[in-house]
Amino acid sequence: MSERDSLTTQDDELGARLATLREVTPPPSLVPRVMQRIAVPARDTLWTWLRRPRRFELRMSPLALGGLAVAGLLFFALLARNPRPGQVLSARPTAVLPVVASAPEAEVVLVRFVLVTRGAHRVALAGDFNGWDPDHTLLDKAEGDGTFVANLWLTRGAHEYMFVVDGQWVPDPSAPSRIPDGFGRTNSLLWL
Amino acid sequence: MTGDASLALPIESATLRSDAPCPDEEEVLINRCLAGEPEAFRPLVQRYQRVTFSVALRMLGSRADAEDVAQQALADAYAALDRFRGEGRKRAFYTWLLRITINRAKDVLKSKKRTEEPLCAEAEGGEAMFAHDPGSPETHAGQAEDRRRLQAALLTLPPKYREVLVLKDVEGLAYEEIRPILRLPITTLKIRMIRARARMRAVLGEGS
Repeated sequence: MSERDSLTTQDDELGARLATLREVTPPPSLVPRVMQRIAVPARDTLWTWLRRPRRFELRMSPLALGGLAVAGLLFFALLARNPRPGQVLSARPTAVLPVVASAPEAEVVLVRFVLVTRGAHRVALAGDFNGWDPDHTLLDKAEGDGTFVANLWLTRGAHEYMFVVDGQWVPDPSAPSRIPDGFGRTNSLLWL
Repeated sequence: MTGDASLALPIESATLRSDAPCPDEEEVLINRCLAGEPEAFRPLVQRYQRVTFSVALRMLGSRADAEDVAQQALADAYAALDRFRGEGRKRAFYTWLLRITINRAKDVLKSKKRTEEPLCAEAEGGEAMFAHDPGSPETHAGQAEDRRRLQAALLTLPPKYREVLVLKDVEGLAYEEIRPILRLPITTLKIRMIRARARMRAVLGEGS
């Protein structure tokens, strides 16, 4: 018999002898103790509780579900209508047509400029009537919704103007007409 | 072998001597456990109590420690059932449970090493006799003595050799089943097995 065959035979004999160690009787208390341990589970830590998957059953009538959906929509609609201070909901100004009030033959006309620009802090009006000075005519901030208003007496004729929103020159989006300013941009144009 | 040992194996140990579980049945039981029915775990505990206890006993050499480890391993398996992925594999739960058992046994070995508590071979106490062993009392005595020697020799081996001998030779697992339990490549397992048997023979004074 070769050395290799001898080793294989010895391994087989040893394996067979070790297999006799398999016959073991576990203590009778093992099963009841395990069942007792799993019946009273260890107290969960918060992290364990959060990680463990759970099944939730939601019982709700279609009517209640519809009511819940409507309440959710209302909540988000109200949230959208009441922005937090400083929240910029629209970066684009929405102007209202200038409102003109005067007698037909008067030399000067009262014009109301209105610009809606939510999130803006300072809005000025600059035009040929104030020497294009961005600090001369500030619009007043109306309550809450980002509306800025200014009332100006202007002479009859054509007037070019722009709004200055927090330092940015912005043409009036709803101006009656526009005219190139000679620098590649356009001014808003108002005829009185 | 002790005189007061039972002549017949407990039903669950005897009938499940072949450890031949049905994956579908186990999957049903596991799903019931996950649905919040702990009692569905009882058949699994009954089925695998012998192998968990046996592996722990051969790794540790103490019946008290082995019972603690077997309890802990089975309770840990229950707590981790949601992470068990059997995926229809044959004996998937069996090998998963053995991995937990081996790891818990190693934890105990580490703690004993820290506390310098010597391992002692008291494993033969309370062992069952073979149910249909026709041998004479002298034969029984000889077998019991041989098992005591084998257990004592096992405990002298480093745990990395002990665990492969316990899983391969004592419990009769295939290398393919041992691989996920010990998380070692098959080649490494085979080399370790050769060295473990050589050491075992040397300890037993039977080296060639």
